[in-house]
Amino acid sequence: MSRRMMLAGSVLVLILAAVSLTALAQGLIEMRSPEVPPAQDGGWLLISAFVLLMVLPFVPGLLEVAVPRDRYPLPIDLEYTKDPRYMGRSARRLLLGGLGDALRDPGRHKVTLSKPEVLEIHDGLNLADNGRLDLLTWVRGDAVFGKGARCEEDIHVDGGVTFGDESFLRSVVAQGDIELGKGVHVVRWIDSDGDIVIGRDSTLGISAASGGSLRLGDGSKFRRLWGSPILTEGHDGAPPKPQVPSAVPRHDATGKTDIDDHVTRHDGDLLLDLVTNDPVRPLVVRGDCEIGDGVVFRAPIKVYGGIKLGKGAVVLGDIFAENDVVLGEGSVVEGNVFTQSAVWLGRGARVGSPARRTSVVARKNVTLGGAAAVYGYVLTDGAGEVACGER
Amino acid sequence: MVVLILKLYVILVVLVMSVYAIRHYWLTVNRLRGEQRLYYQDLVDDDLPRITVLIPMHNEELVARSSIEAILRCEYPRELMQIIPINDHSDDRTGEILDELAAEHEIVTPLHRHDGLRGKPAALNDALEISRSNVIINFDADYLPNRGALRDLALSFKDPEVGAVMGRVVPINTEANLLTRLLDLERSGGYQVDQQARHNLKLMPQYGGTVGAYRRDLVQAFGGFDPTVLAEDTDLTYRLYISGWKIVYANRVECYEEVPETWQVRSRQIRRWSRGHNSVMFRHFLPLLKSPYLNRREKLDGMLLLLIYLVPVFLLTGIVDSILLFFMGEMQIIESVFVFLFVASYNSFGNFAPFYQIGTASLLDGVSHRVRLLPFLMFYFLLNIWTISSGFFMAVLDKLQSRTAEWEKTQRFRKEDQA
Repeated sequence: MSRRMMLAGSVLVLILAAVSLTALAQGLIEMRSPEVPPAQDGGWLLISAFVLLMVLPFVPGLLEVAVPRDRYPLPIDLEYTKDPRYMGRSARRLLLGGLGDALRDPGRHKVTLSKPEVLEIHDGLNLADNGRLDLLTWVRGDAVFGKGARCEEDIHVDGGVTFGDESFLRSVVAQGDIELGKGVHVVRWIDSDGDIVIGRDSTLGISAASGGSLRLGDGSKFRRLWGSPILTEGHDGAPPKPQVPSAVPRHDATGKTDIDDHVTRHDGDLLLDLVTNDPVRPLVVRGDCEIGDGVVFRAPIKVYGGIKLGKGAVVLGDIFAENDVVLGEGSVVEGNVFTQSAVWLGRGARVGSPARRTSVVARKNVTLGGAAAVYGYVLTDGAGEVACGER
Repeated sequence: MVVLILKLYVILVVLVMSVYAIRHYWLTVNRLRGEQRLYYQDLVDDDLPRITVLIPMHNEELVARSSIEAILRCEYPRELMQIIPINDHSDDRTGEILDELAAEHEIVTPLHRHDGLRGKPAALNDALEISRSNVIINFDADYLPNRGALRDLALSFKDPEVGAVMGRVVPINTEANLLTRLLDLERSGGYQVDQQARHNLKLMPQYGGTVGAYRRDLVQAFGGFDPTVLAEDTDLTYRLYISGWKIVYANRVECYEEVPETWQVRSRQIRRWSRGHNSVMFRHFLPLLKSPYLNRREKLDGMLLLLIYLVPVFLLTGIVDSILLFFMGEMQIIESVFVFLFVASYNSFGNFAPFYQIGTASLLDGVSHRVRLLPFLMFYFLLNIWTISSGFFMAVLDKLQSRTAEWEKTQRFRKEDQA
């Protein structure tokens, strides 16, 4: 009741205010121009319309004040942290949280996860070629899906899981290894506590995350990858050799260089192909940057344009760029690669190391060449693809 | 002659208002339709920097424990973390609570200040001296960050050109009354659209003094925070940009804050901001224009941001000017159909630019009915015109009389049971 009274009071106050303003305005006009006749009957009609138009925009707000329907703070997820394996972990939590102990026997059970669903539990599963699963499935052992299998709902596997060529699946989370054949299509994501092997020309939905290694066949398409390491076709899996830092290379191609205590800033394009003994500072290049074949640079680099690493070049810090980042054959970045554009890793290129997992993040495309390795995370807002052919 | 000056001033005010209206629309359209730049939150890196979290506190017994416990809940390696709550001349139980927390957690190392200059800048300077890290993260005493906030802020310093980073603040006490709801809308517009668009366009996102981080060595190289400046955050923003550093905005790093619940407290707060911001404007306007590290777009944006607390003064004096001209019968300023069209366009679009920005922020935030309160912001803006103008004139007097403004703490409204 009090809210309604407040609403009525507010409307009344606004109307009175508007009428007073109108009267004041009218008075001012008359004072300045006495020849203007006082408002006649038609004038009051205009004044009424004016008052109505003054009050009208406030009516929805007055209703919201009187009967609040959206008064709570904007929601913040106070538990949010960055977790590359969030999909798999949250799905597993949701499944286990929605099940009582009594519901863990093989067979079909009605469960409520994010919505009411039917869960089918198997001790082990071997689905024939072109077989089909339409239910949410939990396999308490290993699972094998034949060629052309189709799974319309999420699959949880306690052991390892294999999908035959040309399979179609929504998502799978496995505690063992996952192996996908050629041309498998994942709609949402895959997650494994073990290793993951992806066949050629597969599509990996929005995320493929592995607690171990993640091997990608040529032609695989992806958005997010997590693994240590992530290896593309042709990589023998051998751990990288440690990089021996050389002296600092610096050579000004164009523009001028400004050095302070913290960073070296270079205006214009820059080619790093000479070795000098200058002290190491982070480098900011306001142009494009190229690092020559075999050159080792020991600090982070920020580039306003694009950056290209030559054959066997090494950057022991991070790379931040506005335009494309091209890592040449056998080149190495020990830190992160971050760009507002695209990234291309050439044959045998590497980002990160077993001792330091890092990221390749690009707003546009990420292309991984053959025998490339990333220790950590790959994310693209555009399209990700493994392309082992010559570029 | 007087009439001519009054008329020219009206034209100047109209031009200034038009520039800011265009700026509002430009930023809003960018946020709605433009390319959104990535922030560094998506980096995953085992090599995180060592950080120190500073929390200045003056009589914060109601919120001290909950704020520090929220930071302790954050996901960040403990061995790389130090928390320095600064007990700045408190005469309530703040110091006692901080000592209790220090006894419970090794990484909490309170700094008790009982003498020397009062105020946030002086307190931060003392804390920087005992910090063990180069990356300093600042929170106000009433802030509640999410668990990933420290990591997301600290990662931006992997970029060698980043001098500071700013997160987003979200009012927590929106339910209190109409004022807090209006402040909620205003904050949405300021962060979700304004700051993010300036980040997208590589302009000059602002460091806001809290839910943010900076490099200690840079601040100390500048001689520390100036204790005579009320807006030490804006001062740092301009010092960084002018000397070639960048500030990035992290929209995903969200943190609850408490906003004033009474018009008197809000007026005092915004008057203080205006006074501090305008004193920074006097100090940095020319160095900004001369800086060799900034391009023209950045300088223009920096200039518009520096002058933002001058706009209400322009508007207020412009209104007084036009009333004078009205009574003098001199309202015919420029006679042209184009001027008529311009005025009509401004009345149709320009006046609503800030509302458009806030409405867009509400849309992006996915809120529903609160956007109906938008027209009430008109009354709030009227209050701002007056308080900001008075803050400006105080800043002018500060400058002319070389006097030092005293720090004034914003009153807290959180009840003990909520803490």
